[in-house]
Amino acid sequence: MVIENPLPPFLEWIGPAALDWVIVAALVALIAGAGAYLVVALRYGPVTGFGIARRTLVDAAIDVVGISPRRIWALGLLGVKESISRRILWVFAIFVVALAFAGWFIDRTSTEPARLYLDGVLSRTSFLVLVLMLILSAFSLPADLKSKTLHTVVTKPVRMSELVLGRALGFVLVGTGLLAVMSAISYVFVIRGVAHTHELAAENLRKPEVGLASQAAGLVGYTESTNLFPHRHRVYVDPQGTVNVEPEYGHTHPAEAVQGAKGVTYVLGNQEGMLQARVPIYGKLRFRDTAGLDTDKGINVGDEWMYRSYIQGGTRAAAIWTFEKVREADFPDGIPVEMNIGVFRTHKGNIEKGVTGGLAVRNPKTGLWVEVEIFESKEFTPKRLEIPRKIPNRRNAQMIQRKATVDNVTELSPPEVDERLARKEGDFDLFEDLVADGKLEIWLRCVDPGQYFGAGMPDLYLRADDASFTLNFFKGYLGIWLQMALVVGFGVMFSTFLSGPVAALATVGTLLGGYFREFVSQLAQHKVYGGGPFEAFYRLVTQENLITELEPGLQTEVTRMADTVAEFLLRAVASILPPFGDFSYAANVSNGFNVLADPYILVPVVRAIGYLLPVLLAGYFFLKTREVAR
Amino acid sequence: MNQQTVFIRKIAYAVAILALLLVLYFLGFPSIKDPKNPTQILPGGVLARFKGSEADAALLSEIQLGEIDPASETIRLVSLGMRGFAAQILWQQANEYKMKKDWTNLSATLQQLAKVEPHFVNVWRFQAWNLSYNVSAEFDDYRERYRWVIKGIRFLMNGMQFNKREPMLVWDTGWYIAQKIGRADEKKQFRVLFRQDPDLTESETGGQRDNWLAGKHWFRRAEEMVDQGADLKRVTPVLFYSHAPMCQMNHADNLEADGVFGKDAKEAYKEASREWWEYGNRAIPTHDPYVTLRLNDAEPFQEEAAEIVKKLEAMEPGLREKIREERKNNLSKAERDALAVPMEKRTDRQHELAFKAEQQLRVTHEQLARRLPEKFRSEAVTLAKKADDLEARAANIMRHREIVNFNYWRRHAKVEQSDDALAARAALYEADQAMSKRADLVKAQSKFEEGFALWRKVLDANPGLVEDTSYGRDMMEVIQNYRRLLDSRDAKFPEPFILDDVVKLHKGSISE
Amino acid sequence: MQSEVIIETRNLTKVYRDFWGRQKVRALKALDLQIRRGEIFGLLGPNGSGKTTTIKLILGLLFPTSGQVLVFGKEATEVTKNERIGYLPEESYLYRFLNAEETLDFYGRLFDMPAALRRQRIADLIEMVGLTKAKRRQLKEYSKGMTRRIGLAQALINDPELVILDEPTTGLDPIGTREMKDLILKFKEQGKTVLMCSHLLADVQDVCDRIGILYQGELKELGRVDSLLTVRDVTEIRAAKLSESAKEEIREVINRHNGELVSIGNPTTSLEDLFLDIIHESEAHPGRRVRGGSDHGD
Repeated sequence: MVIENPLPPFLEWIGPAALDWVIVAALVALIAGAGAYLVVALRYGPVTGFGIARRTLVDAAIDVVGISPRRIWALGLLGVKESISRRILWVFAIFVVALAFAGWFIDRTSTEPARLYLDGVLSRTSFLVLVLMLILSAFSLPADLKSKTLHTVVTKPVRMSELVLGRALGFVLVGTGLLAVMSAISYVFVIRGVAHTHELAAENLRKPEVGLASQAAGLVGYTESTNLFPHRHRVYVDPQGTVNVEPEYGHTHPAEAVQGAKGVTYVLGNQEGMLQARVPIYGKLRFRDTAGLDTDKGINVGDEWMYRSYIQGGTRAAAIWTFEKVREADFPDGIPVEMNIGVFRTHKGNIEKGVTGGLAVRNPKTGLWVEVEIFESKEFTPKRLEIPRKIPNRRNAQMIQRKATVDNVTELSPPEVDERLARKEGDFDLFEDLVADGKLEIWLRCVDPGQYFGAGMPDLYLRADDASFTLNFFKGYLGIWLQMALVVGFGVMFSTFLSGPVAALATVGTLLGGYFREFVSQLAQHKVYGGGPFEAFYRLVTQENLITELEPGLQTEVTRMADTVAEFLLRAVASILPPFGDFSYAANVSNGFNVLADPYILVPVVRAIGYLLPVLLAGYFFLKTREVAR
Repeated sequence: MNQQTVFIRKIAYAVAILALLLVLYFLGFPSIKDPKNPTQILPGGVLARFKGSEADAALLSEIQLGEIDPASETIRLVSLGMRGFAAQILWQQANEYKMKKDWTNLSATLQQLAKVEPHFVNVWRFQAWNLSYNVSAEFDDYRERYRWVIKGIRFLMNGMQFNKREPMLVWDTGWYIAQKIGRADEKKQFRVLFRQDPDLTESETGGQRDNWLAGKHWFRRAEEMVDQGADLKRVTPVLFYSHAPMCQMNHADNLEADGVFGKDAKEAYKEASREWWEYGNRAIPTHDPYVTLRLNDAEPFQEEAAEIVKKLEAMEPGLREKIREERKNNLSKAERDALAVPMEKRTDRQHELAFKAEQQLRVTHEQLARRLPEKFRSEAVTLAKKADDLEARAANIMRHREIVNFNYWRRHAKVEQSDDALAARAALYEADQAMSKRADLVKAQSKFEEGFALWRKVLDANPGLVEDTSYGRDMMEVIQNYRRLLDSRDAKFPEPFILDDVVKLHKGSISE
Repeated sequence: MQSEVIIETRNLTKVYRDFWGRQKVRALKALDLQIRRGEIFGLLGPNGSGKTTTIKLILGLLFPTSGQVLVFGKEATEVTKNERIGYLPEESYLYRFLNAEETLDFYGRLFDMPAALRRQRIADLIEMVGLTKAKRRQLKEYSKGMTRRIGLAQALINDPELVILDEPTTGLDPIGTREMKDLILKFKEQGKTVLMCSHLLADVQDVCDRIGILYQGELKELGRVDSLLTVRDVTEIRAAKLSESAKEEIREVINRHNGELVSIGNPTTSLEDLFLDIIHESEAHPGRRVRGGSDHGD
């Protein structure tokens, strides 16, 4: 439903991220280097050891500089041929069969079929591809070593760096091919899966039903239902004969009245709006409490999920989004806004109506605040509103100065402000009066007393544009591609020094650890009930409850101490594990948001490179320092 | 073996695999609704069709439990015996989705979960409740809420197909359709939506478009299953059997609330009365496995007992009082004093003493019989025992009646089907309509007064009805509306008022 | 003037250790060896004597425990040396899913050879090893002899200066063996240096200029084949169509020179004798090793 944590723009992200990377990389390099030197020094003595270490480093530099693209390509092609010879085509067969029978497993009663379809194909593809690549990459080098085919290869002028890169390249090529074909099949599957039409015979139109009437003058009717995702659309034909198809399950249809032998039939063409690629512009969210003071968070209405903060209706509380770089050139006719707000009622109110809310805009510099629209809430469906270019002055307009500020806002002196407001007679112009230096505030408030609105940062955004769904769909596969490349990187790296099954396990471990990185780091930060691994084990053995304090004593002290060490290690591991989930844009695609190049492609790509470089380098060192013939 | 035969063999395998898959696909294709005519269900593949025919039920062991669903079977096969583990993960996922309000994925996960553990009835019951009650409440739009209530109901129905011998799923379905739709805050809207829902099929509603009647259909089905020997588990039978007739009762009440009176309402109440009587005639098991009872039997038992007691007392009139006096003399002084104090003025201590004293003073029929002259005694003891037994049984029945408020509903159905009551209700409804729309206050007042006059007749025709608290409270609300109407017209509340006895008895039941 | 040293091992020792670093096998003990340009050098020894270990050390597939290997004057682990080496492993360790052309193309690319040159070399080599008809078949369908030949072809893809052959004739029929030997001799003509190892004495005897005999990781004998076979004071006389009287005459001549006639008869493969002698002796006097300098012949 929502993208909980949209990524920051690339330029904002890269600075701190790069610093983190350098620090972690340096630390890892230092520890690994020291460890390796220690081993060598123990075996050959400190002086010879130093010589060996120095030579290894020099060799590494040469091996990196002297890379030959032709050799890497040859090794890559070899990987492709090897994969084909290992019958990877079976994976396609499995995939096609899985899709053919997908109908059995899809929730037929879902109200968001497009999302289920997209989630379904994306997750199926990524699962299949990741598992396959994991096996291919982890077992390939060990198999080469075992069959000694590698002896023939490394006695050619092949650098170990080329071997590692070539192997990785080969599997990435295979994965790319797989993904290309799978994505094409999936695309057809999705498009065909959600395609449907409806019909409604004019004779089935009737007067609007009692209790649900909003269109008294015309006629309403329900179309016939569909097969999968059974649903109907309420069609309203107004007295002029205009056909109005009410959206259902997140889509609508173009309608056409067709004169047939038995009378008029309304034919609803293929669905519109199920497959979207909305381009959102996100702002920064702050709140205002009932007293009108700025806060970071609103009220918690008792949800376990902390994503949304709530504002109380009929008070001065508001949720305020500040947008930057709002340019006239991009929105010459006004700004379309889409929102997805939560509603919490403390009393029944009017059951048949949504809770009333107000949307206002404010100039962050002058403080001019103008109400744009009063609307009725609807939950779990994006609501689209338009901030018009010209906002009539008859609406609620006032000056609102911020009393307590989170950031520094220059407060204007009231006389100047009043003068400015007073001078205004006609309509307000969005860009002249309300946008200051490209900044615009959008205020959401709840009008009904006793009711609440809830919002998280991504719940209100400027809907800048609609991008091509087709393109977006394939961008979704780019995310899987990145995950695949990472899996290959880790698989190859582990396979340089571990046997096939162990390398595969290690890769799976990395994969799972990456997916649950958050949990691991929470564990490391002592945020999980039941303490660290040793304490948890102690509790397990003694059948102690997770919440109870352990009795003070020697064993408690010892487990706590062991946990301190374990937690330090866990933290180290957590900071190295790649957050695999973050490389996927599946959520964006299936929720109908465009995968913006910046940051959704740029950041993960750079991040993937940030992981792959050291991983492949490590693979190189492992391979270089091992005896191929052992 | 040369190249060519190998190739041909491979092709042959591929063709065979494809053919088998195709066969499986068509065999297992789930049944779906006909797009053109949604009340019809297209039969689907052969395996899916199995579920319909009870005759086939003995064919396969799995079918004894319920439907063979190829999707479910596949999932269970693929999980390679790690079914419990898979269910665990899915359950956790479902909780996570619920927490994050991702209803689409929650619903999808529940479907999968059910397919992993299709014969685990509590999964269906728990998660259906989740959908119909918890998830639906998360939505602000009542139409969405309705949609999720129906989702939960369909989930239960789905569960039934896997658990054909499980009455609780059927019973739950009845409960959701009747009580969730008919009793929720948004019952008015829900009932309209249910009535007009074009996607409900005949088999889902039993052909009824009123939610109470549709609910009744399912309750009746559950009763049939129990009658055929299905286990009721921990449900109290007296409650279990009361729901179907209660549905009819609620249906009738709701007709009136919707403004339907006259013949239809009368028929509905007649039917309710009949079904309630039928319910009273049903032999109902109690928690004592050797005792069944009929709720209707209380009065005959009491009458018979009274008859016998009369006979006993006729053998030596005044004996009971005599024994009582004797015993009174044996009481301590404190106890006698306590008894002498009127009930309201007794202290705690005195209450205690009086209670003890009363216990001692009570003369059972048997004690009475044993004090009778020798010539009557043996016959009297037999009679006394019988009277005791009858009284005990009647008391037991009365206790069970209280669980379902049997007497109230019996009278309710009877009272409401009378012409006077129907006319009174109609008049008061019209008064309410006239008043709430502020169209015609004059008409409202006259309708109120017409209704009150009719109600007077009803009260007079049904002695004891005026004391009934439910009726009293309802009528007090109407009277209050009437009072408001008079206020707004600057008229005085009539003295004396035609329903003064109601006002006097039930004044306290509503807040001013 | 002596020609350039192509391979040099100095005090080369290899100890195999187990996972815990405990010494398991001393596979090679302080080997000193020099192989010069244009030589055909044979390493001889029974299975497990350290031949293959030596070759792997020379190729950089193993790292020495102590000592040094220099190939073309560079460390054995140096990759660039491989550009001038052709290696035919014991069993052709090739990718079985490739066909002959693809195999050669792959290895050609590893030498960074331009496409045109690669094509030319592939055609020539396939022709040379006689696999023209089978060049599009996957290697897994090849017979042992064919595999051996494609292995040889890949070893020669770069026209190496140094050819290292590990058991070159195993799995070959007599004709194949002969062809292989001819090929080795042809390498010599082309000025290539050849290092081969074998446990088949006949291979080495025919073609090698010099041989080293390894037993239990130690070099037992080293020298020119002819001088090695004459170190002992034994003269073998071979003659054909000799009459009984002539034999008697020869016997007398020997007696006259204070010699002692051992036997006159069909000669045995004397290298085999030598070999067995060494084994026999080293079991009797463990630790005896070949003296430095004795490999220079006379």
